[in-house]
Amino acid sequence: MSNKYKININKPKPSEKEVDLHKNFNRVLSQYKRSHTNKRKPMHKILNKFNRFMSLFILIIVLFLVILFIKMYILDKKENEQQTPQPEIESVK
Amino acid sequence: MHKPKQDLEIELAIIEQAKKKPEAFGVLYEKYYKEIFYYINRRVDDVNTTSDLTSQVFYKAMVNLKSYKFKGFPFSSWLYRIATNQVNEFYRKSKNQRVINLEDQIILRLFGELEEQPEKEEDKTGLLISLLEELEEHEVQLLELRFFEEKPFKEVAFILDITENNAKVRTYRIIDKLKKLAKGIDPPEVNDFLTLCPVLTLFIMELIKQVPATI
Repeated sequence: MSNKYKININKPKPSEKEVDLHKNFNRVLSQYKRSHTNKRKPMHKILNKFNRFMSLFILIIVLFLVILFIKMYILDKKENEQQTPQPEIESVK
Repeated sequence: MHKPKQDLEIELAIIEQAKKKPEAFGVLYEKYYKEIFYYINRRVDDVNTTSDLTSQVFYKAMVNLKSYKFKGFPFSSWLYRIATNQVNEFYRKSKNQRVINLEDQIILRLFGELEEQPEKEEDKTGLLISLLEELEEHEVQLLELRFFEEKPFKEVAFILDITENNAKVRTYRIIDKLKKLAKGIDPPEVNDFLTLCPVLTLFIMELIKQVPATI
């Protein structure tokens, strides 16, 4: 008569003894331990963690490189200035 | 199901212990196994399937225990949430017909809400079956939690992962829908048996037609 649902009316529920027969914590515990010991962290989780710090890490590296480049440039300029001989002033004869 | 604050605190201590030592979870397993088993059994007809699904619920609870956060409800509410999802997953994969278990008390309770009182008990059952057929699965689920399991709205909301207000609004909408349907639907009666079996009606009509020809 009904299509969508199977409707039971006053169906007796399983007895407590019957329920107890299915109760087995050790089985659940061993399933948990098995899955827990063989558990390898999935790749997407590792990548996610990596991604979270990656942008910050790249920013720091870029900043460090920029500062290093500026310092080197300034040092180089100073050295060049010291090494280059002063232009001789030709005396007007 | 309201539990004293002390009970909740003891339960919370066990959960914290179980997070570090999985063997401690056994206390919670013993405490809630029957409750969850019967909850699933009311939605799944077969005892062996119920047993498998119940084991999966507790296994998943153990695996995800580290992410469990106490929100003022007993631990069983979290197990009910996992069990509800597990049952939904079972029906999604197996494509079996969903099972609804009705008891006289539930029927009375629902009719109390609907403010409709058919005279005969059989009429009530017939009407309720017709009404439930008109509901979607998620609507039946809400009714089951609220009226069959007698959970407060707060807990229903937690189990279905919706807000309390949303749970209330949805429930009242369903009740409203059922009221409107109840006014339009007549409960199937035994006298109307032929109207329930159109094929049989046609067959009898054909027989009647053929009788004068044979005479």
